[in-house]
Amino acid sequence: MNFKEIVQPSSLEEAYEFLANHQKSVIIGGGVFLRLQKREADLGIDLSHLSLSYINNGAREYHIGAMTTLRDIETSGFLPKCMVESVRQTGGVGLRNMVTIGGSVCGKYPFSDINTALLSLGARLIFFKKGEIAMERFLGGNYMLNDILISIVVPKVDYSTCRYFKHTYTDFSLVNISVSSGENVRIAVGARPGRSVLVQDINTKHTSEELLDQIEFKDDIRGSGAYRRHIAEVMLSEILEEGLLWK
Amino acid sequence: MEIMLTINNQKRRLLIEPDEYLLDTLRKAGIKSVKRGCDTTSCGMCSISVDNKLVNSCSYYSIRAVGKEILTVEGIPEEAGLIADFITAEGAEQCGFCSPGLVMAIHSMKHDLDDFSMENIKHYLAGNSCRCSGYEGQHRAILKYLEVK
Amino acid sequence: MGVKKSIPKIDGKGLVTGKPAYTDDLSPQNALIVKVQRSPYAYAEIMDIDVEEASAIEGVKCILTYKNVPEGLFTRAAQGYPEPSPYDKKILDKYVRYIGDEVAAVAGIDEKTVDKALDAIKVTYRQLKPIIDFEKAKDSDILVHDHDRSYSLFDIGHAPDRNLASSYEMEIGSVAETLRQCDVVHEGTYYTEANSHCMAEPHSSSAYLDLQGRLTIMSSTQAPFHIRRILANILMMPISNIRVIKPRIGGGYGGKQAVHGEFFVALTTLRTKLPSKMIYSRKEVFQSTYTRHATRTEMKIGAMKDGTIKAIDMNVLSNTGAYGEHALTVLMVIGAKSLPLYNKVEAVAFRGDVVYTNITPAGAYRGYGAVQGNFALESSIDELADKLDIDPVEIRIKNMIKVKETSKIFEVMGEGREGTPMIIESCGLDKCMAVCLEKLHWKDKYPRQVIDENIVRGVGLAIAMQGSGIPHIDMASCILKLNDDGSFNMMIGATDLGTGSDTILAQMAAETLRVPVEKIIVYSSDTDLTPFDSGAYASSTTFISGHSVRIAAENMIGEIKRAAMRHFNTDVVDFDGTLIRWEKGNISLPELAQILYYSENQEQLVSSGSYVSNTSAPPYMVGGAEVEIDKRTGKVKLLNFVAAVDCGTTINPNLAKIQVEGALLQGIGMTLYEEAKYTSNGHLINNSFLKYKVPTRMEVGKIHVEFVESYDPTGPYGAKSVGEVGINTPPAAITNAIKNALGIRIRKLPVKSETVWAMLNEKRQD
Repeated sequence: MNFKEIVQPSSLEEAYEFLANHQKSVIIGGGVFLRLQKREADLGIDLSHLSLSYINNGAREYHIGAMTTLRDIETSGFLPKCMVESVRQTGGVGLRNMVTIGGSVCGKYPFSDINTALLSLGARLIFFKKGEIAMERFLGGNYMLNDILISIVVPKVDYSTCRYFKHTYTDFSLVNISVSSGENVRIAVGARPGRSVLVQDINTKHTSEELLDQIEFKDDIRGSGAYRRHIAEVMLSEILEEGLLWK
Repeated sequence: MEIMLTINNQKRRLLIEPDEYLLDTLRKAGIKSVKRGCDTTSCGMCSISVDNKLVNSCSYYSIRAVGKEILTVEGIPEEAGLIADFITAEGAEQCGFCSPGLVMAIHSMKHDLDDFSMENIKHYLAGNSCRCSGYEGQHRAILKYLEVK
Repeated sequence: MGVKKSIPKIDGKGLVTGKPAYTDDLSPQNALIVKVQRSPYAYAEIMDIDVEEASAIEGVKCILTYKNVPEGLFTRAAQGYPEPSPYDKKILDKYVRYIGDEVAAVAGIDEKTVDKALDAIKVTYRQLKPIIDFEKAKDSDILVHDHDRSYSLFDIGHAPDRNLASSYEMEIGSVAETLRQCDVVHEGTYYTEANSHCMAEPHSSSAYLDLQGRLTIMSSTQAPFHIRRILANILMMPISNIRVIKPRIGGGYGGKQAVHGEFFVALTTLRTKLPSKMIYSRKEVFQSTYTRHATRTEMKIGAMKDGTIKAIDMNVLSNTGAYGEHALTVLMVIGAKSLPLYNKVEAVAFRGDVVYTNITPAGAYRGYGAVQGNFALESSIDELADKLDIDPVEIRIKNMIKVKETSKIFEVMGEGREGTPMIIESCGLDKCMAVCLEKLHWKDKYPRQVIDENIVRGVGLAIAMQGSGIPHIDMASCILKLNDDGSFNMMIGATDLGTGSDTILAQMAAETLRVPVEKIIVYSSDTDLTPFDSGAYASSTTFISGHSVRIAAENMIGEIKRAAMRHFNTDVVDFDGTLIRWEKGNISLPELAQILYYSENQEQLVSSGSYVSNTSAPPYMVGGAEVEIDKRTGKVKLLNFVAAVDCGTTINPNLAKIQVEGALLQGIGMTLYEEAKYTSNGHLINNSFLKYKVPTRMEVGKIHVEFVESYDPTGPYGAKSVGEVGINTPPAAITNAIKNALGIRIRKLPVKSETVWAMLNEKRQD
């Protein structure tokens, strides 16, 4: 993506004003996946001067600034396992030092591993104007908010883990899966190759096959829908067999 | 537009396009160690360090680097020379096009990791690709280099 | 002094520490940027091309279309002259034949200006129906070269009216008859993919006019002398008005053995008088340079119950895409560098067609047919052994070629023409086999180890050969010049593209002259300053250029002795690399050199050496793979790869080892990951590193390379080639290992986990 101008506002208000007043403006998170898009925009709004890179370890939830990089998540040491594991093979360290969690979420990238993790954790997104939106609602909708993502709230859970299947180490996932259990059990599936979605009807008696019957899988260059579904089943079975999800 | 960048401990006043990436800015400024190997932030050949963080300069906006410390192989001649001695002792550079990026990744790795197990090393360097060497020579060189350090 | 030593590459430290060395690093700073408008259609006629608006954009300096460039047909393939590839390509053509084919070139003061101009060029196309499926291309209604007068310089089986870029056949004995006599016949069809080289440095070239107005091209090319000749022919300029400089190259593996951007920078600079450069994007490298030839190989192989292989029939269909670069030669190598491995057969036949299709052209890529042939042959041998219930190692040992033997193939099949008879002077295949079996722990691991209900491991192997240059065609030369401190300038046309040839050639010169390697100052590949060399391809540099260096060094010793004899006024002197002795005393080389240039009978000592070979000593190897497969997912993980290699003397063991390790990884990539998928309308899906997956350092497994003791009397200091042979075995070794682990035979590359999974499902249902 090309920009005629890039601004670096020093406050959220200023940033929002740019966004509201320029029709062809785009918020720049990490900027890495934006680069791949063949578009031209008048104005790029760089959020890197807004102190949005932080991970706060609260009592019941984590607050993660939108400009926190995937590498920061990987090395945080205390974030839920499914988050930490999910980012480990997103490109190399150099890429993860640039890609931001906010950019991944707002781009709604279907190949994203972190989005599946966030969905499985029941994360909530905090926008500057519109306030709080559940990750699930945001990913599910087709609308793009003309707003600025400030932070992501991740509830603390008792247990979480994730799996993904990649042809090579740094490849996009053929399919990914992430689970968590706290107040309730959540199972998310991504790179189907569509966006990450939650398994809605969850019951301890469900087999991985029954759970995944609810999810739609399709073909792309990385594999067929049938193969994706099968791999997801293998990964989910493995998670269920560990026996930690229902504890 | 004009910006001031700190490249290898030197302040440089540079003329850039607003949406220019560091790879282009650095090469225009005469820093030729930084190589372009792809269009998709996939190959790691443009790896540099910005404020002690390994990044792919092909996708790093130059204006974001204002006020930060940019480090390339040219800025760490002694360390780069030593790493080069180990890599060339194995013959592992072959065409050499990916080597400066690899050196910067090793530089950052030394700063970032505590445990230099082979698994950790490979994981850290997984984004730095090489098509000539088959990687084994690089790994032999890196282990020997880390032993010395 | 010099050889058999693992010294670092002489340019290595400079490269690793990031010194400016490659084309884009060294191009003139104010060079115009040249970019190319490329066809969005797989097959179309350009009805109209309007550049008026684009030309008017400020900063645009030159726009090239088919209307204003020389019209001649040529081949991009940088091969010896006359080339065995069809003349079927124009600089810019009224017809475009694949998505990515060149439509127009724009030069401007910066990239943004050029991009704007490219967008402003209006092209009206008449779309034509493309032919994409190479198995339907021969005698199709759709003809890829229907509209040109493409031709070949001699008979290569070029038949554009049948979509054939080339075809070839030969038969020794009667295969049909011999197969009838066999107890067991195996038949199978094997497919390989159109792999991309993925060299680190994208194709780059720049141009400027020197002080005398001569055109100077700097290019990341493997064959600067061929580039100069091709440019001169089509631009109708004397060769003397063109200089081609090859700086350091960021990898090639065959991918830079052709003309790429050179015509566009040359024409831009000739017309504007300004320097220019063209650096390919990675997408252009994938889509618009060339790939390996995708192939379908039908095998018939017959043997007696005791395992004696009596007949082999190999029938190949090769896909050259839109242009026929290296079409015939790659085809012939498929047979010529695989079939001699089993030289005791009574009958052997090889035939093949190379078809045109509307996809990215195919061309030279490491292995150059040998790897395609090896996959088919070495898979077949395992399948045959299976049918015979004979151990796959045993059947190979019984039938494979040995030292002092020959193969009729050598005589019949060359590269693009007849071959040359050859007795094998060194063959370490038996030793390689022993090493490979031992290091892979074959006895304990064959055929499989069941780890648990889901995980199973298997081992498999393949044997391979390559050549060392093309006999009677590849030539190389070297000039040595003595300096006044006793050091030598060595000027060689040999093209180091990262391989380390500058270094190993310096080692050979030092060995012959008996001086330390530091005394040899290497300058390579500049058509003005270095003598002729065909280029870095066909595994020729160590063998052919090596001999030229040896000869030049021997001649230099003669020169030194001659000068010393005059100095001492004697008829007998001896030179040991340090001192020149005669009966009454001695003088050191630096002392003599100083006298020669400053005090007495002043004279510059220069020597040269040229070499063309009448043989092509094959290096051999045995490659063994151990794989681990997760039966639930079909994912194949390479645990170990053992390569036991006979490349004669290793001039520089470290550099030889890296050559093999690197080639193996490309072979492993080709086997397990790398796929070039086209949509039905000819769009290459895998046109970036996001979609074309090369193995990362996590996929390597453990690679163990070992060289067996070997010496080939036809090679310089006993050396044979080592650059390509390493890529040949992974496809068959890995698929043989998968067969041994799971009982399923994969005959199509790459081995996708989904395919393994699907085949396992089928097997379960049986």
